[in-house]
Amino acid sequence: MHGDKVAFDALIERHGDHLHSVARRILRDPYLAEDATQRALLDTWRYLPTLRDPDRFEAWAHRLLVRACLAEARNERRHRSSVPLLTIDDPVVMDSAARIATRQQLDLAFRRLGIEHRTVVVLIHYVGMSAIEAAAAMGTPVGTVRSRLHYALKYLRAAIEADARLEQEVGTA
Amino acid sequence: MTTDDDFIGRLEDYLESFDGETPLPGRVRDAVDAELPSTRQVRPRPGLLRSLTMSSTTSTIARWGVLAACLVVAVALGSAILLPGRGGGPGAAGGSPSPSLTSSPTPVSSPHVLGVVPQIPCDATQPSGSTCIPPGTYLVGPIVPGGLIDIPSGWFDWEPGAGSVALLVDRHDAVDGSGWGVMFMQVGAVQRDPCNQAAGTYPAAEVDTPQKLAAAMGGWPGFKGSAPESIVVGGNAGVRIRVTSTKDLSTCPTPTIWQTPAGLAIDGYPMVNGGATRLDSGYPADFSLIEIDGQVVAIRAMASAHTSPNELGQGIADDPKRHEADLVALQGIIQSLRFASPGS
Repeated sequence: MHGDKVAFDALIERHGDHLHSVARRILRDPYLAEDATQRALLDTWRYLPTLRDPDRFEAWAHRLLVRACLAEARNERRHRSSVPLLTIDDPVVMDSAARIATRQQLDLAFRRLGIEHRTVVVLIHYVGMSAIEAAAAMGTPVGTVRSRLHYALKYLRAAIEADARLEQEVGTA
Repeated sequence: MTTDDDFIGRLEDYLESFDGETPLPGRVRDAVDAELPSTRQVRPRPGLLRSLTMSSTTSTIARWGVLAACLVVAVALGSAILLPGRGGGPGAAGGSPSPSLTSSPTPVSSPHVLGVVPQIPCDATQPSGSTCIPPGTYLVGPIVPGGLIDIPSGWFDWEPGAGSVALLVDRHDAVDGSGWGVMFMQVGAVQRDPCNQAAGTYPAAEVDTPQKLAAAMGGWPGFKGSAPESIVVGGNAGVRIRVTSTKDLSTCPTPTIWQTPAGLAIDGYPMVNGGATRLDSGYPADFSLIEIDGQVVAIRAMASAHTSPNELGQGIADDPKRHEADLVALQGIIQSLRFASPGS
């Protein structure tokens, strides 16, 4: 038990910041991210004795974290039905008067992605996973991951391109 | 028009710089440290338990059994962190070696979630024996978001893997676990034939409601499903179907009825029973299929008082009344399912 605790402390020291950063990006809510990270770390503790290959720790921890994030998001969605999610097919809303900067536009679009789509984007373009690794972390088929990534990027790209068009129009006016 | 590289570059810059540096807050670490003493670690035994937390086709019979064996540890963690209002600590929880229907659930202000519950000895006179959860009200967990159930004494919780959680009754003579209880499960890819994986799975649209899923289950080759009965569980409409099978492990060696969305294979226990049971029609299970937030959730409950297939496998004599009282308790558990009001 003591040895496990020492090892666990070392794992938190090494991976805690990163896991929390990933949760922040997936959930985009500091409180939910803290809850999800806490849940994932406790799951890590619970199941640590079942981890046979220490080299797989990082992928395994990401899987627990994604589960925790999705669970937190589900709970949040249940209690806050007004949260706008899964708006992949909606047109990008532009604030033409304010000429929103690209980063802000991306931020807005990213916020409007559903949790599963955001998770795929974060795992692949922030954590650096392959589609196969992301599929393992999310417990979904690779095809689903690729499909979600495709639509998420399409949506985000449309947001940036709309912003660029707006800038061009203003510049030539 | 942005190039792909330009777009991906902007996206990755955005993700990298999002919110700046966000180290793990000290309060999270403190909270984790505080919960460790009451968080039971899964300690699989070599070989037998390797697949316990992983997606696999391992027989649920084996997994239900080894889980209980895993719980036979000298842990009496609960005494200092028992749910409030029980008065008497572990002794009150384990006064009877067999499950009692007389202990009334104790409402708690902040219910524990199944799977992360402090454990107490099932039998207070044997503190080094198997462990159970204190009677009380619990959150089922993410499988049934917001779902609360009341659990009497003499039961223990078990998480077979992602997308499922179970409650099993403790029996001191079943050292490898009773294998008798209820499992809450998410439903992902549903097999067309639980005994023939090559037959593939149903398209999601054909099993995305309780009624459609019940119809699919009723058509499983070698299985028999009763006519679906309309039910309401915790305010959620659904159907109940009783499923039996005359298949045994010689004709259906790796039964899988479906996978949870996270990939955990749910097998054919207790219906496919290896021929151990003496019930000619196979051991029955009641599936309550309800829709929660657009997702079908299955509650699989043992539907016979007979000695379970898992107990028979341990050499325990067949007794048609062995779980007679447990059946009543189990119905009470299922019927107690309700949902926490938003914000509670």
